[in-house]
Amino acid sequence: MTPAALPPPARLADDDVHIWCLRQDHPIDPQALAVCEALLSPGERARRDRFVFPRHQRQFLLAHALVRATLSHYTGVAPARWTFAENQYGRPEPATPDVALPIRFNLSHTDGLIACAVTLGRDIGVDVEDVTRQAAGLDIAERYFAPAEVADLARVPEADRARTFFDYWTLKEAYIKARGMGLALPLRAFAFRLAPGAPPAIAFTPELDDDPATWQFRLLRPTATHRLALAVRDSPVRPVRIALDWADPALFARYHR
Amino acid sequence: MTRDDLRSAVIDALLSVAPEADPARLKPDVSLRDQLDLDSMDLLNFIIALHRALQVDIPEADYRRLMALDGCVTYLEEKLGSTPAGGGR
Repeated sequence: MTPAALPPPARLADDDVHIWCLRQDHPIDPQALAVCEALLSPGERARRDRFVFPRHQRQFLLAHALVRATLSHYTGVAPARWTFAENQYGRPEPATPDVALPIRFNLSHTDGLIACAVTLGRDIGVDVEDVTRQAAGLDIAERYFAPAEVADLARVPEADRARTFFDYWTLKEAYIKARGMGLALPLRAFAFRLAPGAPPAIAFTPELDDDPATWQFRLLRPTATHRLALAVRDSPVRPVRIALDWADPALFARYHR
Repeated sequence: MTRDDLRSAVIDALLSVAPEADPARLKPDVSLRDQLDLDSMDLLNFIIALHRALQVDIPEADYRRLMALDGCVTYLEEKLGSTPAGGGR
């Protein structure tokens, strides 16, 4: 059987940031899972098989199929053609030759939710968390957050403290992921300021050579129990246009060759 | 503290963030992130647990050395081995 042509690429404009979310705790058709399996490279399958628990294997499978399908959705490049190069901190970037668009992505997952954000050219980081997670988060805040953030958490009514912690945590994660350095960046060297009705703002200590005027941040609530933060390196003078959509693994078959 | 003592402290710290992990099934030279899906929050809680058990401060630049069990034990051996005899930290 001759494979049909890939669907025409969807448009991703210069100022667009598109976020594709996937509920991996919802039932997924076995055929769709088989397609996801076929989209992965042999190296990704080997990484998937290193996980001890089946739920982590399934999550990895869906997350990496989502990345390949999303990149293909905007470029018309067949999913199997994607190759990735990691920087010294392990952040992957598309490395497939002869792709016309400078598409970049960032992937995050937590219990129940996977998110893949894409944009053209600019640095981007995304983080999702399940806000019902039991993770001794306030311990982390006291040890690792900036003093202004710790003080703000102390002022928040106790009933709201865990959720506010996750607002800060996802923003901080999104920023260090956008920088491509992860936890090699000290979390206390930058502080977010949260104000109702305004996008989150960042301030840096001199330890981090960075400029708040070059960043945009958003906090989203893709579900009642999930927080999603986005960090994009771009001047707030020209706000990026953010769209969040839900991916359906059953549709990944469109990209399977 | 012997290498076995350190390994046991590392496994206790790991079980505090991944209680369902079976240490006997873990490959000592493969990243814990790649075997147990530990994320950044798990890693920081693991480091807090190590700090509580061993009174060791681990700078951000060294986090990458903690990713696999063997590497973590070796790192702690080096780090704690530099403590002057009889001295606290």
